[in-house]
Amino acid sequence: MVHALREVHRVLAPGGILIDARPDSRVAAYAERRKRQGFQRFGVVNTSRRELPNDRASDRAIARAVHEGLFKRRRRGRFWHSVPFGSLAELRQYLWEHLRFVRRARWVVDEATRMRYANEPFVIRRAVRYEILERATR
Amino acid sequence: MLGKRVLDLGCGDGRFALGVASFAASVEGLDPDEEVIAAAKKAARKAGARNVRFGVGAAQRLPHPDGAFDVVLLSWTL
Repeated sequence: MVHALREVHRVLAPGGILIDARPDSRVAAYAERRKRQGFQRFGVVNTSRRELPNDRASDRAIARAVHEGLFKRRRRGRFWHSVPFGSLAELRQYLWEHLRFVRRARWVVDEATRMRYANEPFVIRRAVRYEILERATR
Repeated sequence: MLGKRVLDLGCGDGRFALGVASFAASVEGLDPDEEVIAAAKKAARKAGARNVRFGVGAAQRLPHPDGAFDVVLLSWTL
């Protein structure tokens, strides 16, 4: 990863900008029912343990590239990204196929409530971490 | 992005690259997966984007000269 960041530094013009966005596994994702106005939280979706070392390695690679003087941090933060589903079954299928997340959500509503709204639109809202870095003249 | 030379590393099916194409001077998308690059090229043709190019390649060894870009995007790549 650091090698790739060194290559990015090489191909960027002086003062060029690197925009990095990646899943933020330090924050849980949420399974929510889309309502007419807003969302109702139905469950919490945790990141699979196997993915956590990769995410930490990405964090370290950026930190190391900054420490080596390749880039200067300009801005960083987090935003929320929604993945839409037509029904609860589609959401479950996504969790089953998507290796980043654990396969089962931790439901925070009872089963009767889940069944009542099972055929309505759902979303998984997940945190995305971003960093804007400026190429340093090194 | 306005008027910038943009490199999208790990571009996948090219949705970000095509999204910024209307603002940027030029956009190049690179991904190690040949299948997604084929899909990206098809999408670029369909969109009529003339300032976008896609190619197969890895971030660890970029086939570009020094200082070739103003902006590099890493989306879900690191």
